[in-house]
Amino acid sequence: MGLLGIMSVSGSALAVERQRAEIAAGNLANSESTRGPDGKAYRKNVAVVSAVPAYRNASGLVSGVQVDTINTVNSTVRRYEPWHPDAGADGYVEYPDINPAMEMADLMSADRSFQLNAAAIQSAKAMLADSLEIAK
Amino acid sequence: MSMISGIQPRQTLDSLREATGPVHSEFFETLQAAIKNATEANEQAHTTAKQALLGSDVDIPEAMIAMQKAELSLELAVQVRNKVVQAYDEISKLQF
Repeated sequence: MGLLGIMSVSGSALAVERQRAEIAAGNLANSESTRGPDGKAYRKNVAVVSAVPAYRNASGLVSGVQVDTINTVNSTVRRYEPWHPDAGADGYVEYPDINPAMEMADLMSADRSFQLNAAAIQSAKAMLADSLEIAK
Repeated sequence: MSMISGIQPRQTLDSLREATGPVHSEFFETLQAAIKNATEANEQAHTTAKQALLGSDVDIPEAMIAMQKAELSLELAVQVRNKVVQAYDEISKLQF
């Protein structure tokens, strides 16, 4: 596998970071959604990431990464808005417990990690190209 | 204090030579393997790129990586082929 293996491992990381960005974007978009398909307020999603064995090299196991599960944070924020159509009998509306600043930070983190792993792929590519140069 | 043992003779090289048979076949086996790898990588890249273009659930980075792998595998096959041809040229130039 070697250098092509690096590409697969970093590629799995690219896929994970893309999914983290998607989840953060979904949370940002729905930070004010008081109603979802189930009729209740939107709940914040969080990706749980885990290592998966990719291949075995001379010194041991090299791991890729995957999104294990997408967890739902089951908390809401209540605001007193009696005019709101989704308000309860007491006049409070349930809003998702999402802090846009935190989601933005998550999004930036995913973006930077994506860049890092893309750079790792570039390195593997350059190393392979250099190896092929030896024969010339 | 442990004694420093002498260098063990390499028996594996002889057995390897017996196993591979005529010397030239090693070259062509390498070439065949390189071409096989390149073909497989190319097919993989083709399917992934097609799926990405058709908008199915394939990552664009995944398609790019598959294409890059195909390109590098092909490059490797070409380099091995160049070496084989170069060796053949050298031999054909031998004067008796």
